[in-house]
Amino acid sequence: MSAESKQDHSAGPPGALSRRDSVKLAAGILALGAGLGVPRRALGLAPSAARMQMKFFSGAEDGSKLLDSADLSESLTKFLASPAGARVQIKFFHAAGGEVGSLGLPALMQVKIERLEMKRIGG
Amino acid sequence: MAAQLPVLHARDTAFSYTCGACSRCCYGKRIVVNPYELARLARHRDLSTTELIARFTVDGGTALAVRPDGGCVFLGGDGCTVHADRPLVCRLYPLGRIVQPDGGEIFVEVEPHPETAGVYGRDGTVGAYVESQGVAPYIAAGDRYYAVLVKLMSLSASADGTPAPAPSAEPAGDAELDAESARFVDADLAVRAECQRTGEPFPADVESLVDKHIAVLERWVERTFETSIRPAAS
Repeated sequence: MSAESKQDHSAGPPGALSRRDSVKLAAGILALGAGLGVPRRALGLAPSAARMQMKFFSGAEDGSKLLDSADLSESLTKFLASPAGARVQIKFFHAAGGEVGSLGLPALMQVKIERLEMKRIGG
Repeated sequence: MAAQLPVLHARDTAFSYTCGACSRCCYGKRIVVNPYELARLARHRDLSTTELIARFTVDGGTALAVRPDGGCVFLGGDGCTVHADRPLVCRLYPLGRIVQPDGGEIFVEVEPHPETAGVYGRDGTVGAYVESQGVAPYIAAGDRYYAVLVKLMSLSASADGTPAPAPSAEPAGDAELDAESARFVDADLAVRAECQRTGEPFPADVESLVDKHIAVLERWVERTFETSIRPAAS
């Protein structure tokens, strides 16, 4: 390959793809990855989760004040975010220890995360 | 926290499932489809993949559309209208298949509809069940497209060590990404353009179409690698 043809195909610094090829590459990774069911974080297009934080707020009428927060460990976070999937459930107990009720929230969280990642990739 | 883990199966795990044809599993699902599955569905409907993608898919042809009631776009009054060419995830149901980074596979049980008419048992194996659903060509094609995906990802990593698009580039808009992604998803579109360029005959069947499509994608990867990455390394 001649030096001239190298210049034709690389608008950026040595080793960098041209913008057109970068877009094609990203498009290919996104399209094939989605069609094959590969999680977006496994495509290298979104950072993998290392820490999961849960925050607890008061109701809107109280000004939605942050009451407390809790961080989960890295190993537990990675497990929850694994391609095999996991379920998060919040349970409420009364003082004597009996369960009052529970709340599951997997789908809503996933949709929100997906949208955040789409926004990031779309620039 | 008492997490409820999905059940993990190997091919020799005791398992059987008899479909009750209630179609309840055809609601509320996201059915992802790769280019091979799109081609099979398109030929079933006597359409090009371009037409099928436009009429029956969402997200750039990577998932089947759903009806307003949550049912699959291909669900008819008597069940699946494309059953002979249904996608892999439909064939695997009520199992899901996960390919691990080392290429190994595990199967998980999908949570059934609470009123499913399907009957679960243990008088067979996971392997026998999935093979009875005709998964072999789907898994083979999926693996071949996955190999292309791995090449694309390694190309991206080789380019500058950061995820694509390159950080120095102006961010790509959704429309631009959609237009470029078409060649990776729409086999008829990509192969027809290639055949017009080379004068080769258009493939007569789905298997040949997919062979050609993958060859076109691999050539693009090679060409990009040769012209953009390798010079910097040499």
